Amino acid sequence: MRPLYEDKIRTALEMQCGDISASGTLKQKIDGEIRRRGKVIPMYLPEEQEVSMRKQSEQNRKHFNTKKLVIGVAAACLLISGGVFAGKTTGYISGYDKIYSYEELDSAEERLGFSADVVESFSNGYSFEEMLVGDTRAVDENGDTVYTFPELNVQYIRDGVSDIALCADMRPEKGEQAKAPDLTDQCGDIALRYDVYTYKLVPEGYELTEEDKENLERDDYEISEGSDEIEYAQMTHVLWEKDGVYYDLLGNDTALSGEEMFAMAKELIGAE
Amino acid sequence: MEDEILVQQLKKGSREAFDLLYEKYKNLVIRTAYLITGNKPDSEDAAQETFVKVYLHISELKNDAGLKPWMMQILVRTAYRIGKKRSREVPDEEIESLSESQTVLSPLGQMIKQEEAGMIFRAVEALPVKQRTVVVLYYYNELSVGEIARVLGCREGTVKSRLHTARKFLKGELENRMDIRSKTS
Repeated sequence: MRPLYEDKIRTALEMQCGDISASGTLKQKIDGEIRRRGKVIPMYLPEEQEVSMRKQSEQNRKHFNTKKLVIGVAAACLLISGGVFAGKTTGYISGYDKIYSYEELDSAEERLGFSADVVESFSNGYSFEEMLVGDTRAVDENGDTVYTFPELNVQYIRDGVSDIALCADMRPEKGEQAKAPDLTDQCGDIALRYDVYTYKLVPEGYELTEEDKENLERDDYEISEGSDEIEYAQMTHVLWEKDGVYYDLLGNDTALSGEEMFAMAKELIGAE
Repeated sequence: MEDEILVQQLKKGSREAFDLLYEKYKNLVIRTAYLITGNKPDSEDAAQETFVKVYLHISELKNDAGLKPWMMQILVRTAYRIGKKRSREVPDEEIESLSESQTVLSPLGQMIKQEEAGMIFRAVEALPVKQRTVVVLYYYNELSVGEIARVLGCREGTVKSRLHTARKFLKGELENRMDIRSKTS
C-alpha cells in the first residue's frame, strides 16, 4: 500500500492542473504548423511565417537539418536582403497583419512609418496584385526577439502568374552579402545587384549526399527541410538601398532575366 | 479508439486519426507540460510542438502500442528546452486567472484540501526539474519506473534514485509545513 503522502502528492498534482486545458486555438496552431513544415508555404499567408535561418558558421551549415526554411517570397526577401546576419540576429519571423490595395498605399505607408517606391504597373506588363504590411522580428539563435521592424511586401502578377514581389523595410542593422553578385548595375547614384539562389527542399531527416555537401560549400545554394519530397526552387533578387529603405525585387522561379529585373527596379526607383 | 489503431491509421496519413489522437491526449499533454514548466504559455507551446512532432515523426514509432510513452518523451524534451529557453513574464491574464482560482469560495473541507494541495504543489515546484519530471510522470501520468526511464532516456536506477530523493524532500517539506501550521493555529 502506498503511504498516505503519496496519494496526497497525486491529488495535489491533479488539483493544480485540473483546470488547465488546451486553448481553443491550439489545434488550429498545430494544424498550421504542420502545414508549414510539411509543405512549401503558399506566398503571403496572413499569419506568422517563420523564416529560418541562414547559418553563419561552417559548423552550423553542416548541420543543415537544424534549418527550417520556408520558401515564400517574404521569407526569401528577408533571408537574402538581410545578408549575413549582423550581431545576435540569426533569422527573421514575419507576421503580416493587413492586406492593402494599391489605392491604400498611403495607409500602408502610415502603418510602415516610411515611404516606399511602389508602382501600379510595369512597362513589361506586370501589375499590382496585393500589398501586405506587418511587423518582422529579428530573432537570435534561441528564437528570442532582438528587435522588430515594419515590412512591406507587394505582389506583382502577369498573365495570371504571381512570380514577382517587392519587399521593402528599414531594418536597423544590415549584414554583408556572403556572395559576390551575379550582375551589377547602376541607377543614378544607386547601386543595384542581381543574385540567383537555388534552394533544395528536402523532407525532415533527409541524409545529405556527397553532392549535397559539395553544393553546400557554395554561397548561392541552400538545402532546407520542410517539404514532403525533394523539390528545387530558384529565387532571383535585385537588391538596392534608397533613402534608408532596403528593397528586394524578387523573382520566384521566374523566367525574367537579370536585365529585365534591373529594368523593373529602375522603374521603381523612378517612381514618384 | 485504441492507440495502436490510431497509430496505424496515422502512419497511413489519416488526418482524422490525428484529430482523434489530439482530442484524446490534448489535456493530458498540456497538463503534464504545465506541471513541468510551471506556466501556461510554455505548456501551450510545448503541447503544440509535441503534437506537431508526433504527426511529422509518427513513422519513426516502432511499437504502435507505445504511443503514450513516446509522446511523453517528446513532450518532456520539448518542455525542458522551452523552459530552459525562456524566463517569460507571467501575462496579466494568467495572474488574474490564478488569483481567481485561489479565491473561489468552497466548503470548509474543500478549502483545507485545496490549501494542502497547494502546499504540496509548491513543494513539487521547488524540486529540481529532473526530479520534478519524475514525480509528474510517476504520480500524474502514472508511468512505471521502467517507462519513465525510457521516456527520459536514462537507467531505471536513475529514476528510482530521483524518485527516492524527491519523495524524501516532499515528505520532509510536508511534515515541516504541517508542523508550522499546527503551531500557528
